[in-house]
Amino acid sequence: MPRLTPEQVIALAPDASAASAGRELASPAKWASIGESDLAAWGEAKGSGKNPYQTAVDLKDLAYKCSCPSRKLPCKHALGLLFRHAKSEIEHGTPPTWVQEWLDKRAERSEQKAEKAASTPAASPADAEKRTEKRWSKILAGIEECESFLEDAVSQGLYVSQSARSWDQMAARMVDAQAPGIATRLKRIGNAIGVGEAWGPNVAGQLGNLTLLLEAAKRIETLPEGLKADVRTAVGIPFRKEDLTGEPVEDVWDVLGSAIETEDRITTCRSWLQARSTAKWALHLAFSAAGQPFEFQPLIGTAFHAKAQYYPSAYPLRVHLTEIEPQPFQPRKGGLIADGLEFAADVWAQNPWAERVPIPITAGSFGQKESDWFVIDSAGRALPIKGEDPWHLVALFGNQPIEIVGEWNGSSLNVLCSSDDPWT
Amino acid sequence: MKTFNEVASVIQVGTQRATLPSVDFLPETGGEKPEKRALFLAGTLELMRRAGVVGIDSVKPLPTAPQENRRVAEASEAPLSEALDKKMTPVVLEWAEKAKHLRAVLPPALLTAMLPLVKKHREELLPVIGERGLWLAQLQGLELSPSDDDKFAVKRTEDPAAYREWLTAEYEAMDWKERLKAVKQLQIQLSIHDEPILEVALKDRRKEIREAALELLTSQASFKVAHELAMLAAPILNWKKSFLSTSLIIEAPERSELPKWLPKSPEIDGMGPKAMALIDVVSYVPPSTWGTNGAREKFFEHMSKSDYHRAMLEGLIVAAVRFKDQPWLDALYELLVSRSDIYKFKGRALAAHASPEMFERIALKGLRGVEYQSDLIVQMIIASKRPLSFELSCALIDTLKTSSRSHVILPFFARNMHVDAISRTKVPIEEHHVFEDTRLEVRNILSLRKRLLSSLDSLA
Repeated sequence: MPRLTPEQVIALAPDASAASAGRELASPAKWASIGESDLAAWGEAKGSGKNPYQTAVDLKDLAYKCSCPSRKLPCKHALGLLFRHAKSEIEHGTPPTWVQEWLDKRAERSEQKAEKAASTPAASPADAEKRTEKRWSKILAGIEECESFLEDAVSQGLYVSQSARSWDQMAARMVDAQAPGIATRLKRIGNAIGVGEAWGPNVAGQLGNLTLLLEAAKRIETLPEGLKADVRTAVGIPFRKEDLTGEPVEDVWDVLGSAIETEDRITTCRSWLQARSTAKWALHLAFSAAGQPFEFQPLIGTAFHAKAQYYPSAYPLRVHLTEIEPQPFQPRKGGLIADGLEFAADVWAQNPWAERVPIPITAGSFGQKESDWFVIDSAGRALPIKGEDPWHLVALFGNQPIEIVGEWNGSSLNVLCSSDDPWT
Repeated sequence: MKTFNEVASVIQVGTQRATLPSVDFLPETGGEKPEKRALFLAGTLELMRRAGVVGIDSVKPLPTAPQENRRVAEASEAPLSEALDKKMTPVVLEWAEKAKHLRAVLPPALLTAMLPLVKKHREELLPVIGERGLWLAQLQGLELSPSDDDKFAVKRTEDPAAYREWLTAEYEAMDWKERLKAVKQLQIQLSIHDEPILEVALKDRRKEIREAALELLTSQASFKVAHELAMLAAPILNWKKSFLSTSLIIEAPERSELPKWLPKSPEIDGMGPKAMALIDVVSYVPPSTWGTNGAREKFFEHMSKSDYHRAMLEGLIVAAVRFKDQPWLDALYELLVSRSDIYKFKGRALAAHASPEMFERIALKGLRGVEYQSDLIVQMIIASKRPLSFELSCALIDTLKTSSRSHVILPFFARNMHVDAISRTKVPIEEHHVFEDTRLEVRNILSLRKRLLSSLDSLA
């Protein structure tokens, strides 16, 4: 793990008050003892009680341990420790027993997990095929029901058709049919009906895209391997990292953008990485439930050398990372909006169900037309921005041309990262 | 795109009510249900639309920000952001005061959070938002330009005579709010030449304008109005000296004897018409008029024996504040606090006006239980809203830390305490957890203020 910057530590905080309390704890006076090694940072934070709180951070996997009663993760003490680590204020030393024991336990658990995975006998190909067949037949039955539902909705019109609840009910039936990907799409459509000025074309587009997915799922056997994988993934049968067979791509990966979203109580961290030698894009996904930390969360502005194994797809983007070693951050320059849109078109031509595509824009600035916001490139082309207005970025950079990385979904750009330092 | 929108419209209203457009490049298969075809068309056309987006070229970028010619207080970003998050406006204003003196401006990252506050605290915060802040406010359509008060003040300062002429010429044409603002600015370099226009204002239709004019006309002895009031005041105090003692007789005027332009004070319970008339006169006469030769305590003693002592006191309090007479303000404050058995919490009106030395002396005595009731002193400190010295801050923490109301009062005071009083919060209070939480809360506020103020030290 590369040394974090204070901004990255703030990004790890569960909320603003934890970040601010953590920053306050970054003062040397708040610590009875403190130290760090290559693997961990630890300290005894002075609290209001008689005994100080014992805090430790696993710097490799960003895991935290603290004896304070806070339920926040990381707590303010762990954040305070990380702030001091970020400012290189901690002297190297040997971990005390309580830290070493914790690290040993973590290593032991990790080994046990790996052993368990290795020792679990792989299902015989025949069994696996049988299971897949069984699941697929369930999914096909669900798809038939879903198609009728969609046709009814379109026949009656969306104004008078089923309420959002009926879309949720249909989604629940698709979960029963073991097609959670289709269920998620149905819920999104139900929630989008009647919302916003342009809901008609938006919902029609989503309905159409779902129809193509249902049709492709019915004909999956006839599809090429890559597209078959995309259909499986979109329907909701993800590939396990253990099943990845492609050759890993070894490179230094710069983290250019990151977004965290919560849907159905699952928080997803999407990190967009770019290979330094080839400029190839990769998407790293990390998941967490019930406020648990991500197993690995690449932070914007960091870089690492790693082996990236791409998940099968007609246009592979998602990766599984192994053998991660920190490196200094050094991204390349972005481009014009036209270049990004061409890349997006290329991705969608091959995988129509890819939800987002990264677009790096050099010398981008912000503009407004009526109440809508846009990112404008140096050639004068503009893309609409999704979500909140970017006043804070306009204020921060004075609307001078800056480097911007966003996720393009075909309708709007989700600005993930911006910087006034020209990337070289 | 047009075809896609047409298909989307059909889906929206339903294929039972609308007909799909014909699409040449996607021929009909025959026998296909319209709803099925609508969904396929939507899927295909949406994909084509998405892949075919080229961006638009009719949006112009916003203008770029002007060069900032003052230093940006970069180090203040984190603590200031915390203060804004916690909505601690007084703490932000305290930072702004120091930043203004150092000609430092706000870090641009905080401008969007700060601008709504600038609207409310224009005078304090406008000087610290810098060129970038003004530029951003203009883009956001926020009105931060100088107020009428400022415009009039500048005009008056530049050329008092021209301002007077302008006001005389425009007076009748102005609306009453404008007239009020314009009359108030005559206080800048006020002179005998302003008397005619002030006398016009004294006869204005609006009470607010009449009162503003009277304030100014009573502020200098050379004005006719001030002279007239002095004449009215002259017979009020009558000292009677006998061989053994001296006594003070207060003669209250009849309301009918008073000029019409002298406003009536709001009614006070237990005060008759003559007492009220006395208040009206005394409150517009400089306290120095009463010729006590500095022996105010003696004067108060004699005054207390009169039937009109309460009315006299009411008038004196208003007059001391109005004429900013510091020795009188201090003497009255001390009197009101020391005789709280009679005057209750009346001293609150003067808590903000007493000199720092007097305020501190009384507050410390009260908190240490030497004189005065500590409850009364706490009330005075709350009412004063003034910054507290280190000694007073420590005394407050020590006095209130185990009070049943400490969790309410101490954090409130922490906004005005001396930041070094944080040392007093280090000692744990081994009592109820509420006190512990209070101590931590006070500590957090003081720590934030200390960090905020010291974040500007590098710019000093």
